Amino acid sequence: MYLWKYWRESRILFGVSLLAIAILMIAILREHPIIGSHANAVQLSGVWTVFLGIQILPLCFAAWIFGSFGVGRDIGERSGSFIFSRPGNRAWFLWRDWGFGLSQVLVIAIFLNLAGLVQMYRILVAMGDPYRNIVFSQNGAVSLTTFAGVACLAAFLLAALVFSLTYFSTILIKNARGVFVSAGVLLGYLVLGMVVRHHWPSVELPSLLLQPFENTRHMGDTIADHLGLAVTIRAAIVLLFPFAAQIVLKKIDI
Amino acid sequence: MIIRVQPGLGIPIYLQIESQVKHAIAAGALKQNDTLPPVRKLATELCINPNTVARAYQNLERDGILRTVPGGGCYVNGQNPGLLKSEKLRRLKPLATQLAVEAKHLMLAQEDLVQLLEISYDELGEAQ
Amino acid sequence: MSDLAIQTQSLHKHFRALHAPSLHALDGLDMHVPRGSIYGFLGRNGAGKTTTIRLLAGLAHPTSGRMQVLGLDPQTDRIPILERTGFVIDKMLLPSMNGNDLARFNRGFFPRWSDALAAKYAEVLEIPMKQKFRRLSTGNQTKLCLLLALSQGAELLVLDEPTAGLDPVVTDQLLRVLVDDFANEGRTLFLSSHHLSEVERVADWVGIVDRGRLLLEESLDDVRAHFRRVRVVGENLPLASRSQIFKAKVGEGTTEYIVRTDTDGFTAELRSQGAIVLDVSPMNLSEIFLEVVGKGEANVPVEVLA
Repeated sequence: MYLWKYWRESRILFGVSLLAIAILMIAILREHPIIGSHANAVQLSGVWTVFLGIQILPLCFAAWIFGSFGVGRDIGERSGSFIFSRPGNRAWFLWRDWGFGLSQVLVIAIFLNLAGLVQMYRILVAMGDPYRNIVFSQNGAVSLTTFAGVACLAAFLLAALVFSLTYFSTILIKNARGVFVSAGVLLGYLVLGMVVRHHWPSVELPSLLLQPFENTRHMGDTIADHLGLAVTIRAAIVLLFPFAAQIVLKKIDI
Repeated sequence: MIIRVQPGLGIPIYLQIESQVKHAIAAGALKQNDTLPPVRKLATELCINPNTVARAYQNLERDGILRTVPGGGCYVNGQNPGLLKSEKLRRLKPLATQLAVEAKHLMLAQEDLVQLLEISYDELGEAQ
Repeated sequence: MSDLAIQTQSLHKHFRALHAPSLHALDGLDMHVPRGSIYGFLGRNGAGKTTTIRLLAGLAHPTSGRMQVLGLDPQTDRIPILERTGFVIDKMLLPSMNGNDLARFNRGFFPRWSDALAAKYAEVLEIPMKQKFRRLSTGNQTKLCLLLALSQGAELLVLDEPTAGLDPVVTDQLLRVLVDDFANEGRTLFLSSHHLSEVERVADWVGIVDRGRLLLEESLDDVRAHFRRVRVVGENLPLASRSQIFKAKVGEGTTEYIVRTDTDGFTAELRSQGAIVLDVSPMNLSEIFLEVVGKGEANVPVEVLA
């Protein structure tokens, strides 16, 4: 019954997101992609950039808003004394909100990438062979479904990071305005990355987005090393925030 | 019978209830075997603490003015025959002292005070 | 089992602020709330009433000291306390839910929840249960908070200024429901307030808190029976050095004493010394409060309002 509360708060955003994806899907299905004759080889990293680039902003925006629901906002709206005078661990409330919100972000990410998958498929069909893999130089090929799956994972991990960080921020400052704190942190990180790259070109801060496909000058596109490790580390960072929030929530006065 | 209490008077509410009941009995408004409302009902009606009402009823019962029947119901016991005259005098002494002090301050003669008492007594008797 | 529903020993709560001196919201509070009583927790704004209640609910952490609610420590046994106690603190529920939603939400937390009671109170208090909380008037919001607390089947109710900001009609409704519920269920009721006339009606115990300390804690009947204002004319009168004298004020030609016990003995002694006792008057809770908290003017029964 407590999950129902989070649902009540977030259902409009969730519904609108799914509706938008549904509209997108309809547009995809109605339109016939026109491919020029020069599109014989599909460059992987290019496709990757486009595929992710289109979905990151809306997905992360939704995740950002989802992160504003939950106990942090409740405390800010002065409902905190009601919620936390219900019998239950503070951590229990926190994790249920976080888990439910994250699930919603996951669902949206999946549907978004599903739409992308369909679009890619239709493009490949327009190019000739529907079972064509995305070939990259002499290093191999990756199937469409694998590609979409990895893309979904990467997008979700980024969105999860945004969600988790925002959720933690709202608890830290005990207010839904934590969204601005998290936005500031993320933008600050991006700016920092640019500054670092400018002054020390050989140094690169870890990207917020998983980069499974690299384009090297000698070998063309390759699959990045230690992909499993990268995913694990990112997942761990995402989990770091609710644990930190749990510690904060235990200590503060409501 | 309607009981009214004034919390702001500085007199404990239970005493106010007790004195109103006693007054009603003395004036004949409450007769033997009449019922008083149960504690909860009176408390809710007057919007006062039920413990207060309970205390008043207990005191009245201890003094033999009320009796409670198991299963509910508070009944008036009629005039109070059980006490010794000395006890009755002892109880009224503080009131008498207070009257005397007031009268003295106002410089009222003793005979006038006695007359005042007689008038009050008669008024009660008429209402019966 | 203890016969106190709530007690605190030397409870301290300090707030540390970065750019301000630390605030001592509670400065050694020793409180005793008997089971089955209605306890009026009185104090001015900022005296520490809300802080105390938040500590009892386990929402805030004390700086030092101990407290027990229903015999349990809110720091370690918060959940059993919350299952058996109904708290109404901020009078804010979930803004986007209506009364029925909130009842449904609350029901899951309390095994002793009663839908029948909730329906009864909704009717008695005339609460529109289908309107979103944020659209209800202040009076209806408070009533709904109370409905949830009453339907929980709690042994103890702790209410923070339940009648604050309410019009007299709603205040009366609320108090009637509280008294009626209290009488029927035998709960303990702890309410903080500065509407003294209401507390005077329903409380049997009072605790007056000021600047984080309890200045007076007694049964209301005792307070009413014993506190007296004595005005005297005379020379060489004893001033506030004796324990039964709460306060003494010297005016032009008269001295006014606030006496807390044995007024008869005190006045007899004054008379024996040749002083003229002008009057001995009882004091209502407002006057007692003003004297105890130190800001009282002679014979002005002023209601201390929010």
